[in-house]
Amino acid sequence: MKVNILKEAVKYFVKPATVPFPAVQPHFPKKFRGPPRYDPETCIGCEACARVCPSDAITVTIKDGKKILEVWFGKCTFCARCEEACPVGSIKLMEIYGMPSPNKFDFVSRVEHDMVKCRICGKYFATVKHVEWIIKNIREKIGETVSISELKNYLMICPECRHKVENIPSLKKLLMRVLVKEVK
Amino acid sequence: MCGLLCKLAAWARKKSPWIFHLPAGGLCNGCDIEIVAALTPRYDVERFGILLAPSPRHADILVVAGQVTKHTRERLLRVYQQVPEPKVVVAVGSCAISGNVFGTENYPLAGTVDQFIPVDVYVPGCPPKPEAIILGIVEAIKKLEEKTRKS
Repeated sequence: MKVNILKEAVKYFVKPATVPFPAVQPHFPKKFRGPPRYDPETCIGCEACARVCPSDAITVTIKDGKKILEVWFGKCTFCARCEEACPVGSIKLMEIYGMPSPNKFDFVSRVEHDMVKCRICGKYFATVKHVEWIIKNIREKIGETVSISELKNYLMICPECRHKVENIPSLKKLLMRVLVKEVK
Repeated sequence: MCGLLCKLAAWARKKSPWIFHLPAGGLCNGCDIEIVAALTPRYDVERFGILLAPSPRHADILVVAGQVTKHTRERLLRVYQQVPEPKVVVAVGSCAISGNVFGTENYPLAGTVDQFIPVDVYVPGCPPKPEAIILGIVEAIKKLEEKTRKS
């Protein structure tokens, strides 16, 4: 600890303390938290980041069958809660500093997703990539017992309609098969 | 009479703008510390001619950090009126831009900076790096030049 302080002190006699900033890139310390950015290729549009954001910097808008996730780092605290919550590691706090701008709505990173319709009520409720991700995870857990088309049939139903699943015989059978497999 | 003197004043204003730093109440002082860090020898804005003015009457650029509280609203407006024309306002940090975690409907807060005075440059960050503040002030100098030309 003390050696480090001495090193810093000696530096002042060796070279100027001033960082020649516009000429050299700024120094970013370890675990530096800069503005958050989405990676549009890996993002699945699950809204986990929007739910944990303490300052409501991440907004979700659903319009014409598209879901738009938008992080405005003019309102961000750079707490990295979104990075922790993201299940696929898509949103990351970058090692950059925010560039000043005359327009305050320039500080935005956004992703757009296609959505799927509910099979029964026809309401948009989840993104295509989210459903694919869930299918992939379920297949990893329970193996090949249920085919992809069967799973898709089940997952293409919105949560509200899913509550009435007992009224639909084919879905009830599927659910039973999955549950029985889990018990074994 | 004004011709040569005005040109000289415009040149001096561009080469050495003086800034006045005003914390507008509702903030954690993180942005203030970063602004002070930009003035210290490590970042040394004085090599660009930028100088911290002791009074708003001497300043060209007003650097505001933080959200406006009900108490500081009057002071902010008075300080803004005291800065001579042409003047440029730089809003530093997330609080000055949008209110950050404090929101806009909190009981001691009056609103964001741009609801009371016109803001020319926004510097994002919580707090912004001193490098970003330096770039923000450089952007403000460009705005100052434009305003000088107009007037």
